[in-house]
Amino acid sequence: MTYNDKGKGMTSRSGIYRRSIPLRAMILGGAMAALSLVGIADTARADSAPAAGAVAMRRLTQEQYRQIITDVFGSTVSLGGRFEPDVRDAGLLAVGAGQVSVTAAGLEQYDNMARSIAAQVVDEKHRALLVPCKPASDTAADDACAKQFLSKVGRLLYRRPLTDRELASQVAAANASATKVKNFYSGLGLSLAGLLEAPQFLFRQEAVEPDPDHAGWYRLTAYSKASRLSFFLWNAAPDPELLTAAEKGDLNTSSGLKKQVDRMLASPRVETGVRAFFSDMLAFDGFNTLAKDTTLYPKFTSNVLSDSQEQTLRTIVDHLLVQTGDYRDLFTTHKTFLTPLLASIYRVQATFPEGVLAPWVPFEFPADVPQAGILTEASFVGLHSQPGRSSATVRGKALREVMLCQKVPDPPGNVNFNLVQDTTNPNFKTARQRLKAHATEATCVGCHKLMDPVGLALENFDTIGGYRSMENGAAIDASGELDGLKFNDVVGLGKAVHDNPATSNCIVNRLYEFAAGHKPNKSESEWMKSDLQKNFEASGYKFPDLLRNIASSDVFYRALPPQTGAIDTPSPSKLASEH
Amino acid sequence: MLKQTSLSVGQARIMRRLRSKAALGCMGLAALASFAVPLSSASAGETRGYVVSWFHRASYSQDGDCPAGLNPNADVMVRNILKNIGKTPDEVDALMVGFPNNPGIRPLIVNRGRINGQQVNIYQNPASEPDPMVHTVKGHFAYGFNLDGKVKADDFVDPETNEAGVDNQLYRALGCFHTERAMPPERPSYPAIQWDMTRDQMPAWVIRIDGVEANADGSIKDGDATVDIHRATGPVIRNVSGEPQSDMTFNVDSDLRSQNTVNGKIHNGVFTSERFVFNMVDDPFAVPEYHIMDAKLRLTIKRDGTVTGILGGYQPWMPLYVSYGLPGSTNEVNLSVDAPGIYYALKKMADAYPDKTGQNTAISCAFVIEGIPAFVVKPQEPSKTASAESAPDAVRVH
Repeated sequence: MTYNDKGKGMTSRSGIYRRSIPLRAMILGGAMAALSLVGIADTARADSAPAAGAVAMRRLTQEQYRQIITDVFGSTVSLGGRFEPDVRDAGLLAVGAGQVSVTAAGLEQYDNMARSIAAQVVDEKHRALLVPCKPASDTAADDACAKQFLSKVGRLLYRRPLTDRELASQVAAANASATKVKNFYSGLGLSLAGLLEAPQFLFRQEAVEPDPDHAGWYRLTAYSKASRLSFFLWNAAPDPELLTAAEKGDLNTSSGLKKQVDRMLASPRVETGVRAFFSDMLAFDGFNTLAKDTTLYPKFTSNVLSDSQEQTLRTIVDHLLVQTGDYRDLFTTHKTFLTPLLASIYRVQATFPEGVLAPWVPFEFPADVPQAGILTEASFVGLHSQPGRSSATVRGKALREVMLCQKVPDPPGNVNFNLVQDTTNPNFKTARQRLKAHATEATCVGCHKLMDPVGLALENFDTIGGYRSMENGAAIDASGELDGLKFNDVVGLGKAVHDNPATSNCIVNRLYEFAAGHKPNKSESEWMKSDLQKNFEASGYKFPDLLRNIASSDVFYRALPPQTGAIDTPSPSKLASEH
Repeated sequence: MLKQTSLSVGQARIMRRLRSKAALGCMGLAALASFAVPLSSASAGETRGYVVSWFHRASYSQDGDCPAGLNPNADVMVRNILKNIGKTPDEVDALMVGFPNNPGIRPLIVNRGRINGQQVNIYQNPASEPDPMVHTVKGHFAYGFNLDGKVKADDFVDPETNEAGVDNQLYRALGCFHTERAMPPERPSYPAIQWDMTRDQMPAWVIRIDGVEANADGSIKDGDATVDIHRATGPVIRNVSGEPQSDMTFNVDSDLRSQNTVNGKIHNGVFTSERFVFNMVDDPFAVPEYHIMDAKLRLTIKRDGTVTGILGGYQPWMPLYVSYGLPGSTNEVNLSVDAPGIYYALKKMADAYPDKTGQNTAISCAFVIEGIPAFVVKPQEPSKTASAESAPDAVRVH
């Protein structure tokens, strides 16, 4: 079933499930709740069916929007607007992106950005480079040139070729406007702005089709496969080569898919994808609102804020992609990267190149200092702290939920935090002493047992990541226990996290959820356990192998049987018939 | 991909120390502070590094130390200047409308000098007007050292050490200007402004103390030590408070004009140097270059990880005048300094190194110097720092 192009009804088209409504109508009509998730229920899957997940309609994240504009129009085109905040669900913004709509205010921002971008693309500075043809006259409509430009750009923005009807509509709009204002480029810009405001651009609409090789099974259409693959590995829309592979049907063959996966994994752009995943998993969006008491911590500047995130991302990229190291070693490694400001935070001497504005240098902490692993970096201990003090509880909760994928219940509403928050009480000088007194309340004990033994191991780091051995004149005891494994200090905690099976299983699950954009259903969970986790272990916990395994798997592109109201983007075969 | 890196050898050493129960039991906050101090290896004791966070003329202003009164503020001073160059009271009143932004005033102030009846720039020719006889300090206390070994009737007493016979004629010459007056830890306004304006451009000054040995309680053992004061290759970075950020790494500039090394002794946590010549390049806006002869330095190594002290000696007075004269009328109008008045005061009060005419070319002085923890790397040191001998936790090269 499909809505027709005017959104006034539904028509049936064989094997293709599609919905197309103007974005403004979707929002103003209050229809987003129905659209935010496609109407595909995993409960409909028969027991004998293969592992397969739901498809989703996901709003582009801020980074994805920026990346697409940069890829299509270049880095000199600025956005000129602000984004609505992304929403985190199941630990990931990538999953939350399937739960969000666009508010009226958000639509206004999208409109501002679309007009701003379009105006820049067709201005005198950019048009010679970005518009592949010259109109017969700058002051009149030019059907052929408008068609050439809009078909080329539309393919990249919609992540598929425009249908004949879509293209004709956009060209007609450009021509009408150009005729009215007597300016070809103004008309072209208007149509381009329309493309940039369209739900087909702003939302990643995944479409499914029957799998011709397995009766009763469904899979993503080739263009949806291309999008899912590209956003997974590059956090970007498919490039022309991948779109061409989709168009030719290559992505529906093992060899064709392998060729594209190999190409994309070999590209430097995979770093962008890895950074996007870990920024999401580590909840770095929290830095947007992170504040510290700068009276107590005057070192905490905005540059420290950004450097902290970058330090961890550089550490991860180098360890996982460059060194192809064991993922679990991220929790024990002494190797990292520093800027002068971070070296100041950690109070270490590092040699930086002269004359470089913001130098980064590789750095290795000595073996017997406590800075070991990403848990001890400012991005973790700083992000999961209070503005003026550390927080063993917040850090413990974050470690459990972010690194081990374990859920810690929220505190009850009537908890009295006074004892924990008063760092000046002479009877409770350290966080351990304060939490011990606090956790005597029966309603608190259970959760604090989960959080505090791991969080207290990070107490040697203050709220911005600086090392300390004392708190209020009392020595800090950083011993603790994680799921039965006891340790004496934060280095021991890192080893405990390294050796905990939940650590490697968590990264597998999170990565798949990031890639697929939804929480896995039972069949997917079983597949992850029997396939992804097992292979990850067999590979020596090599992250690139995990990326490849997901990107190459059938399950990643398989879909549950569609139900009424499912969304469709045209398949190559259908597009061919329309053209 | 990783390349050679430096490391905090001192930090590793202190970490090991902190792990001993005995140390943990008695070090307290002092130990925490000492850990915060960046350290590197030294043959005897440790090396502690600092970046200079405040260096300027040492003031110790007390009520009554200017019995003739303080020198007037800019508006009164400019009125006097206009009167002295022949303006009538009505003309002076008219010129002073909108002071200090009246554009008609500046040319008159700048060109108030007279040589053979011709107008000349007063800042380039400070002796082209009669000595305005600025008020000077007659007080009892001033920071510094007894440089000449004599205790004269008008010598000062150092308020910190109670040393008598302190020679600090620079403070005597300047200490009655409003903008030079302060009681520590307050900073006098003019030097504070000058310091603040030059921080972001001027390469930082750095200090290293070699031979520091700490007791278990964080106090410093008595003994020999060596202090280096150098200019770094880059400026300080400011923290959120606008003050220099601590624990930053600085590379020493190899410029021979800014290399100072002096031996001395630590007693009760205070380093006192032998005599030496202190030469440092400063900022052209302040003092282009210091050249303090017969210098002495005392530095208190504080438990909070900082150092504070006094550097005294004989400094050629002309470069000091340049500090006032170079900015011209801006200094006079905005900071209430009388440039030719200071010229005459410095010249009259200079007390050492006479030239052939008998005019002393240098003036006794004292500067306050403060430092916060930093890593100081000399040009030849990176390989030494990473060597197995000096760094048992030696960094690995990837």
